Amino acid sequence: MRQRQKPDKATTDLMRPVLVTGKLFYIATLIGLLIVGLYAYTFYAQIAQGHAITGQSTPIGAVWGLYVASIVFFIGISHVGIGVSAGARLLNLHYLKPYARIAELLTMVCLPAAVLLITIDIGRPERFLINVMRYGRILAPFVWSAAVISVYFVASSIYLYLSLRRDIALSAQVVTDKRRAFYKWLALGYKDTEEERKLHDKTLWWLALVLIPIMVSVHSVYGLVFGLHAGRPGWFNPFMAPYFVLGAVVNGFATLVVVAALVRWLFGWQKHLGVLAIRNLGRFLSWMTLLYMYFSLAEYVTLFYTPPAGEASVASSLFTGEFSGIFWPAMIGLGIGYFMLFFNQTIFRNQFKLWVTVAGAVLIDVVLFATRYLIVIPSLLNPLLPYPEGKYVPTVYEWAGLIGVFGFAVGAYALFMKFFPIVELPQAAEPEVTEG
Amino acid sequence: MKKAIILTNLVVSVTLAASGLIGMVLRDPLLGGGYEWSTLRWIVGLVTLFLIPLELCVIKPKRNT
Repeated sequence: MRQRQKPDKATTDLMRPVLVTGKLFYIATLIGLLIVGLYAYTFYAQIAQGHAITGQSTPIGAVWGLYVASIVFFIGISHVGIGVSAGARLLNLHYLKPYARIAELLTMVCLPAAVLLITIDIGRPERFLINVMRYGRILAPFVWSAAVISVYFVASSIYLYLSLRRDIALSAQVVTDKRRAFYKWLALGYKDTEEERKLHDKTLWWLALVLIPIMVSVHSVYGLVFGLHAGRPGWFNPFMAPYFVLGAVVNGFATLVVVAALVRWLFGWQKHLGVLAIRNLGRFLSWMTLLYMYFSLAEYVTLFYTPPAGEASVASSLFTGEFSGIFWPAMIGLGIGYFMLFFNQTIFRNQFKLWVTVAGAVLIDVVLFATRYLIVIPSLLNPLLPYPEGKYVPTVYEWAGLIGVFGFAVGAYALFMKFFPIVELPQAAEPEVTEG
Repeated sequence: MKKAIILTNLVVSVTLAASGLIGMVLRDPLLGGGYEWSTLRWIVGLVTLFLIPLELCVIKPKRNT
């Protein structure tokens, strides 16, 4: 007879989402499926009726729209997983360790979310895949993006699996339902010995080191997709790659602060997820936001000062034209978000309020989405060639597709939490004891 | 056995990635002709390299009893 291990109090608490399934989970799953259904319906409608149902058009109007802005947004969030997890491991930031898996999972859901958006943006996704793989050229930024995203996703998956393996082995000993066999198989014979733990730690350390440059390359490539477009005013500049990476860091960390605070509150894990880590993440976010504001200032001052004709047209549409209604609120929002974080961590640090940091992070996330939109659309509506002026307004189908992808991301995150511990478990998995 | 698997993985991955990269470089820049599927080999080569950490941790060395 095999003995099952009795979990200690901390483990039971951290495994509560795995061990207990409340009505809320089923309701949330149903709502999630309905929301993902929006994406499926939009995809079908585009295949059946063509891209004319979206607001996108060419050569008059914008050939890229809400989908592409959202792709950049989700790719940005996917930075944070390895950024936090690898950073914590390489720099020995032990207080960040409980948040590592929360961050890693953001990478694992946001990368596929971005791929879903790429798929829906392409008219014939199977042709895109086959033609890129069959005829892809070394000088094509989309070939680079296909390569780095594939590598980043696989490497991050393996990183997540290896860091999760110990908890999977423990879950096999704690869980009493049919999932036990699944966990046992998934653990692939993991025995929580000193030797195995050391091997895993060492391997993960080196994997983290390799993943950091891959992580930087993913968003650099997206910056280059825009920055190498000599024919688009407002895009062609050498700082697009670092600007995008910085935006991704800000975007990712803002999302992590929000998700971490939400998980902490939802499950009552204040004891396990200390507020110090969120404070330090908020502090880092405030400095990165300041740097992002500096980059933005440099960009817009350059656009405003003595721009060539194409850039002047883009600048006019941003500062006083059709996009000023998004631009100015976004810039003000960025400033407010920064000061909320800055004052909460520094001047008023003795009166630190978690909700202020979270609210600042939410605001920054919304602003970053708006700035992704402002990077993509205005340049497309102000071409260098003398085409008639066009307009772009996202249609209900595009919004439905985007909401569907958000639903997928939230649903995939919740589903993971249903099967695997979202915080590293403190208890060691004991070797199985067979009696009789 | 473990070392043999990892070494084989390394050789296959590097060969695939290298042949893919060279194929992409040699592809006709204007017409995109020749050396088809090079991009796939390049990506598959890179991706399979990351199976090595998994093999390092999952494959247990054969112990002589």
